[in-house]
Amino acid sequence: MQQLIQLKVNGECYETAVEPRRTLLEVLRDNLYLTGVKEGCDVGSCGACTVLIDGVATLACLTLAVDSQGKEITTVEGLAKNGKLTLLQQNFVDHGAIQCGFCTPGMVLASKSLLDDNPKPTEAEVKLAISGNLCRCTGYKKIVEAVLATAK
Amino acid sequence: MRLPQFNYLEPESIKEASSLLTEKGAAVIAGGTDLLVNMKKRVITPKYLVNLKHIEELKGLAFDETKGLRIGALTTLDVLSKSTLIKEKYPALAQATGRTAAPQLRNMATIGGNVCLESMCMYYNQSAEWMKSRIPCFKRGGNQCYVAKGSKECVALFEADTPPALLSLGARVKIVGNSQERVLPLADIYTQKGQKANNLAPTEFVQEILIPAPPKNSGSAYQKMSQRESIDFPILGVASQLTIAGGKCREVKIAMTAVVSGPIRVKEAEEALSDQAVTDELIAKAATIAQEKVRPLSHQGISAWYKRKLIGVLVKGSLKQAWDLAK
Repeated sequence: MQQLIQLKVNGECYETAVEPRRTLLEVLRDNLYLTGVKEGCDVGSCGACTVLIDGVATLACLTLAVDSQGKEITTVEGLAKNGKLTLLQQNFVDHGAIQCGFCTPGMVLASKSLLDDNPKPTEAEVKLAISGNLCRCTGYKKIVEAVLATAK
Repeated sequence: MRLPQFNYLEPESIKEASSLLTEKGAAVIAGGTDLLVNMKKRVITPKYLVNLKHIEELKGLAFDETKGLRIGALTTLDVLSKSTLIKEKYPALAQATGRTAAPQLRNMATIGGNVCLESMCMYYNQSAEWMKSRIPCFKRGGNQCYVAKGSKECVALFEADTPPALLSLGARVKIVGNSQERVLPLADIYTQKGQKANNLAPTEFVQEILIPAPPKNSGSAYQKMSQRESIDFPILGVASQLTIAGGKCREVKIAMTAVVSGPIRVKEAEEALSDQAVTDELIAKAATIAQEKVRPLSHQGISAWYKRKLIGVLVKGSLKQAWDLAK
């Protein structure tokens, strides 16, 4: 049975009707058309669906939409302001840290949550922070460089 | 993969949750990192999901020098792995929670859920489509085992990271729900059977985990070997705790995961150290005893032979690390 839920995504409030079985990932993509969040493995092993919930990196594929009410959800669409990329995003571009781009939203958000907690991470800390995100183009080195450049 | 249909319930107290759980086909959800995966694969299909996350009585993390540590079941693995208190007083627990899965999963997964993690098997944790191609095994209600051919029972592997750390630290667990509330040593909830890892009834759940204050001059450590550094279950995980008093080793506990269908203590290796002056040679001897006594299963592509070698290495490693801290 569908129920009405309110979600606060990227500072905007949305109201939508969903079944309890819909994951946050499905609702963000299919109901709110926020397709920056990606469906990779869908079983919590790849990090492509990473979003920030109250600032914490969370897997949207293993989160129920009904259980995401009353929280601040941030997707990759919520980072750039007035068409201007954040420093972290710009560094991803400048360092060639994007290949096919599928893992990028998750990588950016996982890195953002690290930098928000720890503005000056070491290389090891960056690697640990993105250790839950798989990049099948295997472009990890450039991603680590982009995050470290942002921390400078 | 879509989740199957279910009714969603959000109780706000233990009492309310307990009464909701009496509905047939009800299951609890907290972190959901394991449950939702199994539901997507139709390994389990609960009719009701009772979300425990809004119950205040299951939250909190508090330490008292006399009473010890109380960890609310909803405490996430990330919180435990980063807590200065846990790192200082219970290093084995900080290391075990810090090495579980991946950062995002640690942000979501709870300690209550990790303690109650079901044992796994590559012939069980598969999608409905995949399962259609095979006659069901014991864990799926059939009467055969694909891992140990000819076995009379299921030999699914218990792979949770935190239980060995908690066993080495002497943890107790408080179970609540529709039956009599009970506090018991953590080891007592494990069945050591592949069919079902713990003896909690469907109407029961963990409220909190209680760990005594660490004795003076004690140390603990958890060491894990996995195929990947992140997002992976252990090939083997070993936790040790020991106390040094009067120059001798007291109260030593060695526990491990991913060897059989439950987390186990290795009493024979503990006895070799007990009331002895610790030396590198003695630790090596205890490691050899553990290697000989534990009978690991060949599972998930890892041979029993390799696992046995690894038991020697990690028992030695974790004991040395714990000893360094106790000195």
